[in-house]
Formats: sequence, structure tokens, C-alpha cells
Amino acid sequence: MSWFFDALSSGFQHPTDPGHLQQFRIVFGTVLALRFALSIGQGGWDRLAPGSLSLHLTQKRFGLTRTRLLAGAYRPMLIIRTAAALTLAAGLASRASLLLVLAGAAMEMLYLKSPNSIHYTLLTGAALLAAGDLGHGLHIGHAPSTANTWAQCLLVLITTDIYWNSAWQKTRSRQFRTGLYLAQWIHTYTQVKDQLPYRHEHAIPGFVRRHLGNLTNRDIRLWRLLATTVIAAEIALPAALLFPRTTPYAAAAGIAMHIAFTCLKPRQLVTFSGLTTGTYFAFAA
Amino acid sequence: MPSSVLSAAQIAVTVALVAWMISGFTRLPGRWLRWKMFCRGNFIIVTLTGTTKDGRTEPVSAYSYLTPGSFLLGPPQLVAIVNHLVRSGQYDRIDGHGRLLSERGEQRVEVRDSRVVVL
Repeated sequence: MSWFFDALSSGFQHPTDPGHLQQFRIVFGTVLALRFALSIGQGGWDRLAPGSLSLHLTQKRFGLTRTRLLAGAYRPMLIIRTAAALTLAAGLASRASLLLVLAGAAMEMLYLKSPNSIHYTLLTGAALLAAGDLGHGLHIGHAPSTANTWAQCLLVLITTDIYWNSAWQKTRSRQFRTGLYLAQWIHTYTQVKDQLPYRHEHAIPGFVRRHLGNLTNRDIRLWRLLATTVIAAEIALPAALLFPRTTPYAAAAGIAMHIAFTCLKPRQLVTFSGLTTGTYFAFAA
Repeated sequence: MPSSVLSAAQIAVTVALVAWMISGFTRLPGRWLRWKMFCRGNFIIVTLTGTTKDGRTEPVSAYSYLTPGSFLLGPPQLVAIVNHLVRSGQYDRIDGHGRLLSERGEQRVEVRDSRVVVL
């Protein structure tokens, strides 16, 4: 049986290896440092600049006064949150750094349209906040204790939920289930890639574009096979990660799946894929 | 804090979290814990031409105005971008044509004198 059920049945008084949470802290800090550093480039620094579309949309949503506050805090926060993510990864003033990282991530909810990766960041970050022993520096402690048991359980629950719920949402979407969504995605990419401002950031191999990017019935059928595989993998992964015998295989399969996802949307999936695979540390006994 | 009180608080928070997670599998309204990424969407493939005040025309990429890393362009985003380009004075008018791919299959999209029409 897995440590997870012992921890639940003991009211989180079952000792675990506190190092797993500390390893996740390092991954969390590193992934967010990368996300935050990337968000400064590609026009990010000039977001909310006078006359921009983003400023106009923000004014429509929040009014002039609150937009002025956000625009004033925006650039300093880009710098502060990147520095805080680095100190969190390095284990310096971990708790204070973590709070700044979470505030900096929450700021994105005010101007980005798809908040899924921010929701996931805030939830896993809150789980880290619940840890009793975040560790110091890059040293990982392994002496069993109950300090991180609850936080480790929370991480397992959050990642299990993201996999199972997203599998459920995909099953409910006819567009995804039938393979149409993936086929349309790849087809659109092949058609517009030369119009994209940062065209080298996608990593979709040429043969996929040529042989699966034409929206033919055969293409859609092949993408349906892949769509079904993804749904099945998302359902199976959490349990397979939790049972010690299957943990290494599940982790390898999960990492391979996230690499494939990340080829489709590298920039937006850095956070999501990095953090999800990072929480695999929490599943291990 | 005695460990039994701490433990009880942790159990209460965990139960509340799990209940909230379960609500994500129902039709109850809410934005959190509903992981609807990458399962449905609209894709517009469009080529646009902008006409400046002095009558010159040039190609315009609607995709440059999306969140970096994204090429998902739905009808509301296209309308917002076209309006922005005209309102900001960059162009006098925008025209173009393309296709909308969605759950419903494929539809034609026309941009005529800065108005977006899905046919």
C-alpha cells in the first residue's frame, strides 16, 4: 500500500521523508524563475504601455484608477518576483520568497486570459506554504518527520485533480474526443506559422505538419487515436505514480507525455509541464 | 498548538478541498479546479490587409497581437484586434478573408471595411 493512505488514515501524523517537498520547492522556484524571466521578453515589459491594446482592455475591465495602480506596480513586480523565485529555488528566506512569488503570479490573473497555469501555480504554492520544513539552501533532509506529510498529501490531491478533471473535460468535449481539436490545432499551426511573431518557439516536427496537418479524414482519425491515449494516460497516471512498484514507469511516461504537450505550446506550458512533473516527487514514498 | 487540534484543522481543510474538487466534475458554476485546457476552441486562419490614411496597403498579422506563444484566434479576439488597429489610427481600414475552425467544423470569415463577419 502507498504511504498516502497511511498518511490520510493517521490524520497526517504518519512520518514521511521531508526531502520530497524540498525537491519540489527547488523545481517550483526554478520553473517560476523561468516563467517570470520569459514574461519580461516578447513584449512583456511593454504590456500596459500607453496606447497599447492591453492597457485599453484593462481600463475597460477595471476602470482608470485601478488600471493606473496596476500599470505602476507592473514593472517593479516583474523584477521582484523573478528575484524571489530564484531565492526560493536556492532556499534563501524560503517562506518570504514563496509569498512574493505567489503575489507575483497572482498579478497575472489581472491581465492574462487563460488562468489555468496560474491557478495551478497558486494551488501548488499554497501546498508548499503548508509545509513545516521547506529546507535551507540546496540541502535536502531525509530524516523522517511529520513536518511535510500534510503538504505532500495536498500536492498529490492537486495533481490527481488536474489529471482526472482535465480527462473528464476532454471526454465531455466532442471536439477533442473525435480528434478534431488536435487536427485543427496542427492544421492552423501549419497555416499561420509564418505569420507568428516568434515563429521559432514552437517545436512541432516537420513530418507531423506534412503528414498530419491537412485536416483530412485520415488525419482526424489518427488524432482521435492520440486524443484517446491522452485521456487514458491522464486517468491512469495518478494511481500509477502513487504505487511504489509502478512509480518509475509512471514518472517516465508522464514526463514523455508532458514533453509532447510542450512541443505544441512551449511558452505557455513551461509552467504547467514543469510543475506537474515536479509534483511527481511528492508521489514517491 | 496541540497536535490533535492541528491534525483536526488539516483534516477539515483537506475535506473542504476535496469537496471543492468534486464540484469541478459537476455543472456547478465556478472557475477554479475546472481544468478545461486544451479541449475545445476556435481557430481563425486569416490574412489581413491594412489601408493607411494615405491610401497605402500592407499585410497585417493578427497573430502578433495575441498573448505571446498563442495562435488561438477566436471571433471576439479578431474583432478586438481589428477595432484596436483602426481606433489607434494605425490604419484607416482593415480587410481580409479566412476560415474559422471550431466544434462545428469550418466556416468562412470575411473582414470588410474593418467589420468581422462569420459566414
